[in-house]
Amino acid sequence: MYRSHKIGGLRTGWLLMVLMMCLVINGLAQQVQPTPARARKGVAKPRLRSGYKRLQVEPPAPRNPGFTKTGQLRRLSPDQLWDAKPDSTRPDRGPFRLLVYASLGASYYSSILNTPVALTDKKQLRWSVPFSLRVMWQTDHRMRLGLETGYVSMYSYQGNRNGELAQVRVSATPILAVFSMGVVKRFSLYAGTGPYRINSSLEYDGTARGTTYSLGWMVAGTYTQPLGKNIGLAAELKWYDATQTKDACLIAQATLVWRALTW
Amino acid sequence: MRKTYFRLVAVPLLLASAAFLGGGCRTKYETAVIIPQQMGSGVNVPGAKLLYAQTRKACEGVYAVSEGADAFGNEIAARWSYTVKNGTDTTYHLSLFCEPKGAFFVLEGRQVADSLIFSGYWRRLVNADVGTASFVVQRSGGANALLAPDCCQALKPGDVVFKGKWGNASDNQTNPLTLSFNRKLNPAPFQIIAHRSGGRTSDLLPASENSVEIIRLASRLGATGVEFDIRQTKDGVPILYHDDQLNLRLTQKSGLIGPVENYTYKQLTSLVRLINGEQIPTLEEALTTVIDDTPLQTVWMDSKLIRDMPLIREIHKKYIAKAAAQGRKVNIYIGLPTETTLNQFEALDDHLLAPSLCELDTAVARRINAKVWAPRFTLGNPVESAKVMQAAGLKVFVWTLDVPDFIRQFIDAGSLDGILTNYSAIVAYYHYVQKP
Repeated sequence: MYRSHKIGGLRTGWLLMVLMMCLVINGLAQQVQPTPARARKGVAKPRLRSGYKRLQVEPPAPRNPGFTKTGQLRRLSPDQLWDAKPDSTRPDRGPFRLLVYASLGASYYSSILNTPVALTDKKQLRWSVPFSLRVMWQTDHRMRLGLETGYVSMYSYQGNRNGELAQVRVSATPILAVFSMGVVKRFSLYAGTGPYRINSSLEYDGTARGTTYSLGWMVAGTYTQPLGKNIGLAAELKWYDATQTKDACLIAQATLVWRALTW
Repeated sequence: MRKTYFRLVAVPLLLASAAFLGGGCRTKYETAVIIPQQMGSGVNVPGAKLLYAQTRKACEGVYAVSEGADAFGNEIAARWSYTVKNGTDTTYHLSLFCEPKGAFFVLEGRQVADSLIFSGYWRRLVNADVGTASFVVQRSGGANALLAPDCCQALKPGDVVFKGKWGNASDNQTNPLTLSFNRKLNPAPFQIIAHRSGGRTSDLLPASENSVEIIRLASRLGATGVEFDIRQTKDGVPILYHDDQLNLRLTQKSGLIGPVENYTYKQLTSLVRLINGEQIPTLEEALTTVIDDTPLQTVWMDSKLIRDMPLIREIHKKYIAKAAAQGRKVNIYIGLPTETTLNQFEALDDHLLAPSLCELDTAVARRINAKVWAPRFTLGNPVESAKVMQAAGLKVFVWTLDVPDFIRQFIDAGSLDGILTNYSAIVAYYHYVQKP
């Protein structure tokens, strides 16, 4: 009785603190910052247009990050564009992109796995070949939003019970809302939360299957190497954690990145 | 510079939030409170003898606390219970029930020369506090009266004094606790019915809820009856299990998930263990334990999900007969919490003869000739309805009362025949210290 109140209070305090920090940082990030060139000159120019159009019609300002040292137009990523023109209230937003990530790799089940004591000759398998599909909306500022799903065979085990073989397989399908941010060039961090659909299959005294949903989270880091105008290849390291069922795995994947839409 | 600052702050914050969500949702207390291993082989003192039945009986009562009241309150209720092991080996435990924070002691007693010694552990139910305790009743402190062959018709206040020490966890027992006999326990008949066969797993008891082991423990925690949660496996075996899914709240991780009704009894008994390692018991194992191994007087068989009510009724009849054959006075009721189970029950040919416990309204309870009407306490004060039902010959149990103030109010009202609770020790305290 008293215990739960105390824990609830601590948790609420944590959440409030994190929320407050997020609000402060968000507030600072929303402030319009002059470009370094403008700051040095101390001249407040009227804002006209932003993005590629603005950069194409206006003469290059000295040390404007939108241009090279020789005055050539630089192809900007949304992050760089945001650094050059960090104003999310400008009327002509963009460009926006829809990115599709398809991944295949290897996973290792990383949670504690105690197989039933009643079984003998037990064998466990923690490795599997997972795949995942992620669709991200790349905005004209740092944060990207999207959804991720896929399939990972978490673990399986088998053993004997009175001379009869018992086999159990557990797999997960994540259904996650994912947020991403570029940290340095070509390297992005991902964090997501949502339910995992956990499936279980038992072969012993017949077949039994079960399904449940487990709330959880994920984090990932991705390095992307462009291969063409709209396609790239990424190396991804990812942690899936289905918290309610205490299932977690570490995943290393090769990811095909396809820029499906730009507008 | 500024963007670097934002990234340095925002990225760790993002990771910290994710870690908080992942780690913060986990249960902080995940294992049962470890009871100090002092009672495994009984009180181990050379020359110690078991106590006579009349001596045990005479120790029961309400004691005033003269030293240690700051930790355990001004009064303590002492009551014996027993557990039978392997059919013949009976162990008696003296439980002391206290008011603050649901504290209780479980002790074993022996006679050493002309003194009585008691040793065991204490626990608070509202947190994870636990420790050891020991007491002695010296000859001059009443042991001579308690050990007399004609003991003990009329003990007066102060006739028996328990001089004791207690310690936290496995620390030395350095804190004094002195108990002085004040009066007998409240003799009014009253059922203290332990929820989930003895107590919830979440209260970190040393046995899992709805296990045979928690049924054995229930009377030491103050219960005079237990409530089972009954479901049926895929192959129709009635078992004790509360939730509708196999989950980590109740079972150890096995990979099996989903409704318990998806699995056969053989699958469950081979691969699934309750949170403290016990097997999921069958209804018959649980009833056998109640009748053979404990002094429990009431069984409330809560029908969570029943497909075969005639089978439940057959088991019901079998164990009523078994208790009667052994001279045990055990009331076994089929609990009817929903319209569905009510319809299944009314389909039985002999439902009017079957002892049942109805959680629905009073008219239904009368219609099916229920022995007990059991309203939920949150539906309002049942005192007036209880009087009407008692006048009609039914008992009235209220569920599920856990808040000490509410428990005291309901007991003080004096209109109930029993309370279903997760904290038997708290109900036991308020019931036994009440002056008739």
